[in-house]
Amino acid sequence: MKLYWHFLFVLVVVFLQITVFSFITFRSIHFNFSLLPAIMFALYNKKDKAIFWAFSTGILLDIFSPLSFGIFTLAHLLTIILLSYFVSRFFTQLPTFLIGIFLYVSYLFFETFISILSQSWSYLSFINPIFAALMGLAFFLLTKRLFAENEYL
Amino acid sequence: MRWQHFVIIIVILASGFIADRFGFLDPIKNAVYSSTKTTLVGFNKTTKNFVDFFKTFSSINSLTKENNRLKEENLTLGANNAQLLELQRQNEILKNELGFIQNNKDKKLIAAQIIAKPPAGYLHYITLDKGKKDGVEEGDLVIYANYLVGKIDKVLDNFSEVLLITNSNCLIPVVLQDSRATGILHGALSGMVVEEIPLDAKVVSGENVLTRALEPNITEGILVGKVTGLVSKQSEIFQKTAIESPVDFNKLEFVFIIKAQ
Repeated sequence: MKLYWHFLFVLVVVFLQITVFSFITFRSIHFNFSLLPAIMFALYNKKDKAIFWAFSTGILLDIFSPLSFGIFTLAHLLTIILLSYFVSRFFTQLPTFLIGIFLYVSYLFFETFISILSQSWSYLSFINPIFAALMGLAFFLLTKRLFAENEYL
Repeated sequence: MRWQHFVIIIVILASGFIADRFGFLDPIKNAVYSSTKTTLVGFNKTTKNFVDFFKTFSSINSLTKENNRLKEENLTLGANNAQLLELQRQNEILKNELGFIQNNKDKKLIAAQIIAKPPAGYLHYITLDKGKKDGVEEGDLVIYANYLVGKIDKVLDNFSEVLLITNSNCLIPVVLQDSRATGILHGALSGMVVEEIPLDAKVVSGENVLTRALEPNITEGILVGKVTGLVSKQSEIFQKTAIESPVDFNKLEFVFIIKAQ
């Protein structure tokens, strides 16, 4: 898939995140959809695309945020780089039962990092990753073939 | 990915951070918001209509009960309002007789639509579609249904960013209506609190919390919420109470910015 298509999807994902997914909440729990595609690419060992998604969504979220520029980008990149390193170092093919655990740990790392840099603490930093991991797992199972087998992505 | 790419990323982040600190990113942010405003507003409206459509079916029964309850409450409030108006009239007469100088500034309200919210709910800020060109200034208060919602933190030409009162960095001087205790309101781990209340103040659960005009842009007497209970320990030198607001900050669609004139 050409780069501009990826960037177009990045735009759609960020717009959805700051409008639709910020409005749809369950007891103040939000779903962080913007990080999910990058995590999916990282889990499937497509490191370059994962870092591109992490960087692009981070930059856009930084522009739309009143927090210091770079917080979201740094959080996204660190999460994806660490995740990509662990996946490529220890697994040739990631078992499905570990996907949920990796999703939870990635989101927990991301939310904790954002909380520290933005000095905004909440119990939601620990609840959001559980919800995100469950939604991410559902998304993964639905799009397994798309990410794994599609060389075009 | 080669190391050169990482260097480029670090340079971009560092320059962006420094540019943001000195305000050089503001025109870029303003331009991005302006170009995407229609899309963002469209997404927000579609989502709200979609959610409201499904909510209607699930809440018909509870809406009927709540409607009946509100009708009864409305009748009682109407009677109370009449008594309060009479008291206000008598108060004004007495003040005039005693020669008090009224410092009642007229308030102007600017209606603003929320165009973007943060990706994580605990970050507690929103972006509005009104900015410097509409007369918005840093520190202006933001209300919804006559309840305080937040304070303007950053103003661009056509947009502004609001720190919600649930944000721990948003500090508002307040007074408790019945006990007349004063304190500072801000967000906390599990909601909002009012801190630095003197120990001798007799805080009453359920009393209203109102703003105090201790800062230039803060209008006096805006309702914030109600006291739910004391959370400070006996050994502390100030009291601390938890506050609850009836506003659902996750469902806000539009707000009003108060301009004191």
